[in-house]
Amino acid sequence: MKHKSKIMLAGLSCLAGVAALNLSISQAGAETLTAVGHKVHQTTMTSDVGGNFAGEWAEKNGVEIEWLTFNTGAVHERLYREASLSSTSVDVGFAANRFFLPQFPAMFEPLDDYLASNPIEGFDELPKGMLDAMTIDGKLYGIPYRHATAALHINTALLEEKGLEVPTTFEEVLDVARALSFTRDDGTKVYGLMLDDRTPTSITDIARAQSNGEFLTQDFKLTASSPEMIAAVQTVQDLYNEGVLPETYLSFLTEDVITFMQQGRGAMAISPFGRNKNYNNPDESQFPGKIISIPLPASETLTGFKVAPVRTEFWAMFIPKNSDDKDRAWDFIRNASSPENTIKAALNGNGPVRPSAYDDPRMAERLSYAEAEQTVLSVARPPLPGWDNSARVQDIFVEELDLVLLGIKTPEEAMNSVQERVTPLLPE
Amino acid sequence: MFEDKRWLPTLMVSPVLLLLIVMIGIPSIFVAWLSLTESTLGAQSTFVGLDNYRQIFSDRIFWRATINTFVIVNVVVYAELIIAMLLALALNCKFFGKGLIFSILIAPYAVSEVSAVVMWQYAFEPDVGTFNLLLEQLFGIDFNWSRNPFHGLTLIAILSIWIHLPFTLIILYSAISTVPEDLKSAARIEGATERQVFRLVTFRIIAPAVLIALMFRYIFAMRLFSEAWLLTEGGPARLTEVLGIYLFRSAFRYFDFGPAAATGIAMQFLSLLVASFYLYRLYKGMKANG
Repeated sequence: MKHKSKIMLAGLSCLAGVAALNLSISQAGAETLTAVGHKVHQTTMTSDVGGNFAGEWAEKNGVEIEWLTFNTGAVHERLYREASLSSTSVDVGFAANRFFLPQFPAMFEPLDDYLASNPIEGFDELPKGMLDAMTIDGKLYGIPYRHATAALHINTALLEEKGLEVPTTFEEVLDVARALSFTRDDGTKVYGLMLDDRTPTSITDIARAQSNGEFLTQDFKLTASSPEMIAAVQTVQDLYNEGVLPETYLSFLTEDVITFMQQGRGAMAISPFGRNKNYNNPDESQFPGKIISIPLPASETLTGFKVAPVRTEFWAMFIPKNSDDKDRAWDFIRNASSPENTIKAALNGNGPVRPSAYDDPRMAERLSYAEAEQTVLSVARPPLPGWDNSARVQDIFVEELDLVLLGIKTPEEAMNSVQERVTPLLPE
Repeated sequence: MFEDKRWLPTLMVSPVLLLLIVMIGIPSIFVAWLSLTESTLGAQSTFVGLDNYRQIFSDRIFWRATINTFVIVNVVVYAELIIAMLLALALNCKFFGKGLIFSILIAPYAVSEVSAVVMWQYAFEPDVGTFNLLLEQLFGIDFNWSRNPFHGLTLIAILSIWIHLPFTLIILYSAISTVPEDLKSAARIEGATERQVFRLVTFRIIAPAVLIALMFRYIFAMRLFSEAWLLTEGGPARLTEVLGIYLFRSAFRYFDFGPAAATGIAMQFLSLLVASFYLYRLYKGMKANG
């Protein structure tokens, strides 16, 4: 009997323990805000250079922020999967404009009511074009946080080594890229130009710099087989065949561009302005402070543009419909979107979505490229509209471009094929 | 009632059966159902019959991925078998440092696939890769896996063999260790050469283990994904794409779950086809041995 009582007591203690553990877990869960995004979102909100405003917000509210960061494609995959479940621990998610889906209303919370009851300071300043892109049936689903606008990054040490000047036209960019494709005295093979990838996003930069060409407009007008796009693909093919683009360009990732630039194996790169920090990072780069970021010059034949109308993409913050604590998530978004925190994020390497951020003296003082970025923003455009077939279209484009680089198709054949294959995938 | 113990074996295996039903049976049924629907994120699934199968079977990239998978899987599985067999036979001899060599040989199994890919990627980097420089200087071979699809597939196969060799090696080594020494001695006394000893004694005893290793490796290799995705992402021009990548693109880039599920079912059938052949051989062998 005594033995049975002991067993019962032990059993009850176990149950009590499990219950207490459950309680503490659920309490801990309530104090955590989970954000899904790219590493750059976390860095620009928490770095000490401009200020860790996300950390300050968390401390003030007694909340712990759990960051789930992935590469661009995986961010959307995870976020959309979480938002499609019956419940999720994710409170805030980041999504890029070309990944916007028509299914957003089923997955994310409309933000109009939150905005009306607890407004964002200086909301009217946020670019209308960005807000329109996140509005479906008159309801706003996302608040823009970051823009990534393309620049021309140049390793000035290599430029000096070859006795060259900073290019002022796109033709000069190509000439300098060719001249900077050489083998250094220490045996390092240098490639003149780096492109982020082989997607229409990067190739459209070339088309726009040469002739203001376009692959697919925001209103879904497809011009893949236009002479401008064919010429851009021809330029890329020439650069690849001449060894100006790296041999491994056909398997290149963003990380490879960063590594090549940091090691001096890449002399110039067309990539977002924010990448300047990575290229000049004294802990990783062999050329800290030597890599400048300027607007990509337009072709001398392109009238009406002082600089090339390159790509600008933007990321926005969303609240999943199934989030447990939407009010707290909204407060996090409000805090991150304030004018002061927009400047802090910019000093941490973010592309500020508020034009007024560029007028702040801290920007000119601490960011060498602030003025250049502001200049480009006035002409930059998104490279692709967002719809549910955008990833498929990018894959088709890459496949056809690869066939050109392998010498299997001509640029004209490839772009005609893109036009034919993409047309049925466009929204009706 | 309790005197009759016939229910006992069923009761004893029922937890495992239940686990199999929950972990494999139900998800398989769900995937089969998903393959008959049009399904994406944030939208209701709609029944479309066999449309997804029609879609993937009429896609030339699906067939290219199937051929690539078939070729790589066969190269990887048989190369692994031959190398593992030679190593297992060598390890079965007594020599100094055997334990250390065995540890080194099975070490790749503990390396994460991501680290392994990065390591091999740098070793074969066209500009600065050590192996590439050696290949070029010793044999004049320009091994550019990023541009040449054949080289890309070769590197994927090498990588896969390197990572998974320990699995086959452990199975074969264990089997070879159990072959009685007196049987081999008897064969030698009867005048058998070493090759005949291996073929007529050792191999006959380890044949079931070889079949099991082959079957499991076929099934695992059919799911080939991370090595290929991390190395080439199926490029250039999707020429090095395997079925795992084809499925991943459908599911996680296009959020088109119907064709992705249909691809999964097709992969399952391919695995079953291969496994059934080896299972049949195994069953026949067991029957012949009584």
